[in-house]
Amino acid sequence: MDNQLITYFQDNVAPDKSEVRQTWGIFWGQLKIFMTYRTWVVTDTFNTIVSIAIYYFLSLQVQPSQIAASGYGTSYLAFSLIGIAFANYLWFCINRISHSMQSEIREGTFETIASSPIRMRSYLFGQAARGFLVGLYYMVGALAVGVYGFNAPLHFEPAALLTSSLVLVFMVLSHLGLGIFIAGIVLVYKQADPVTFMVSLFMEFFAGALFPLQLLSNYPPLAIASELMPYTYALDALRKSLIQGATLASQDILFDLAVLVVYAVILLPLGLWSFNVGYDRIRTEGTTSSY
Amino acid sequence: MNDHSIETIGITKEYPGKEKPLVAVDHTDLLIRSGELFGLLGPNGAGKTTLIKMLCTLILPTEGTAKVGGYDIVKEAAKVRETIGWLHGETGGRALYWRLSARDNLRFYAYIQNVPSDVARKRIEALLEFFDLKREADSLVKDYSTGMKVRVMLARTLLPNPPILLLDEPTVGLDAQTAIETRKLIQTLNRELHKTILLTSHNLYEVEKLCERVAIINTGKIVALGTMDQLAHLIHEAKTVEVRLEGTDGEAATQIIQQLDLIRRVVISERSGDGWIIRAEVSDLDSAIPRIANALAGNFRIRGISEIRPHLEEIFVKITEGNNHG
Repeated sequence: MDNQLITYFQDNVAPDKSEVRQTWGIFWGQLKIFMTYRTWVVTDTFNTIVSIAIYYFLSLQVQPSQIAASGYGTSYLAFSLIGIAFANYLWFCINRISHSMQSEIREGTFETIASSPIRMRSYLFGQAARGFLVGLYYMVGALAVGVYGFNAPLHFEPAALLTSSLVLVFMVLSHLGLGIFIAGIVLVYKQADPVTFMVSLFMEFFAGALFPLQLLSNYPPLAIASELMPYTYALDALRKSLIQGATLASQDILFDLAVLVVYAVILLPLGLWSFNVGYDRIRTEGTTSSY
Repeated sequence: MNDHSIETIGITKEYPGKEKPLVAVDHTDLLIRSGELFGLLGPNGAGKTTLIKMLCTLILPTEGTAKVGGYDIVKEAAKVRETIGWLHGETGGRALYWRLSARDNLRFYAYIQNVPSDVARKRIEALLEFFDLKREADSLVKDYSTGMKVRVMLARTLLPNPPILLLDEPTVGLDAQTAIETRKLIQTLNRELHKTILLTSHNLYEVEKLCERVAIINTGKIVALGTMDQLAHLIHEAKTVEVRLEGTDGEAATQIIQQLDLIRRVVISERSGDGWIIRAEVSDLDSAIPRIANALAGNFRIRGISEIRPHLEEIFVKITEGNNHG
């Protein structure tokens, strides 16, 4: 061992145990890895544009009066654009955590993480933060293409943007627990694609991403299920702010935000708890590297 | 930290099997002193990796307890993780982020290993230099050879400067020169920085050269433990003495040696270059060497008489074979 190297290992340095720094480390590393998949980013961007074009042509077939009844203006493009852009965003965020977990296990990096001093919640939040940032790129891109490419009538005034940004934050927090729960499923069962697919499908359907929820009123069980979905409240607030220009002064928006906070407070600890149960189970089974 | 950096008491790991549970580690007691370089050997599937993964807190024991750095591996797992550096060399670099460079891999691990940024920067450059990775430090790991990947893994293990190193096959996949350098590094880490090192390797020469004490694990149990001398004694009731003579007339000397009462049997008597070698099993080593020297003195020119120690490979094979058959 040369002298230069040994001098760097003779110091008695106090560890930097900041959880924020650990979370940042995971976010930084995962984002850097993601950016190496350039083809993937390009094709996904292309897919986003094509999907908006589909909704644009679909909107030409829908009567404005049918949408007006839902209380979100008269443009089906604006209605569906918000529904699908934010649903995709949520799905991307939720899916990223479990997808990364699956890759980490398959590539053998999970054991290194798990045997290091990082707190598991910092690891999960770091993974989630990467998903939220990358998802934001697609979501903002989709809205921009809809508004500037296909003339979707959305409110981009500061007050509406501030309101929708706040709703976005609480929408993410209210669903983060779900993403962490699914990551726990990946730990134990090694696969979660069918679960994430089902969650995204349920989210889009029951929250009314592509159709007004009034259509469910004739099917009481479905209407009740719709009211139980946190995304329903997020979507309501987002449509009200971005289509109608509603702000935080609106009682409806405040109600939706309150519901999202309640979901966040309940689901986040539950997600972390269930992840820890899954983590302890694979440590008991000795399957931390199985896939 | 107390006198023992690693301490296991009756540690056991059972996995559910089709008919009966599969016992990977079976009531194992192990004490590794602080600052010791300790070897753990065993055939494939003997329980080495399960034992190490339990010490890393990756696997929970079914029974028994273990402490690493004085911390309980179940109740104080977070503290244990701050104390250890684990290298799983057999993964051949799988445990790295292949789509990050070596430098970025190390930066990433500095974050999760709680190494402060200013310290990490200096250590990363020194480690890249030491492991001859500087030239390719910014290329993606996916383009590295297996040896380079193992070198990055070694660098990563050392980065947080943990007091206890669990090195599972640290030189697998390395070229001869890097393997030699790595062995020297392991020795230096132990001798100069007083790291406690638990080393497993299929390279028995490596373990024999580096480790003060060695444990042999087979079917989940520690079947032998001790210094090389103690292990050699386990397989050799009779010690072997080698006599080296000048000249090629060794037959007469062999007959004289055979007649001595301390000699059990002559195992080898053959020409070796311009000399002759005789190996004989003796019942009392201390008495046998001067008796042989006296018996041959005057008639033969003796180049040397010494004890022959079995190599670790021979010890390992005999102990594990005996254990499997017994």
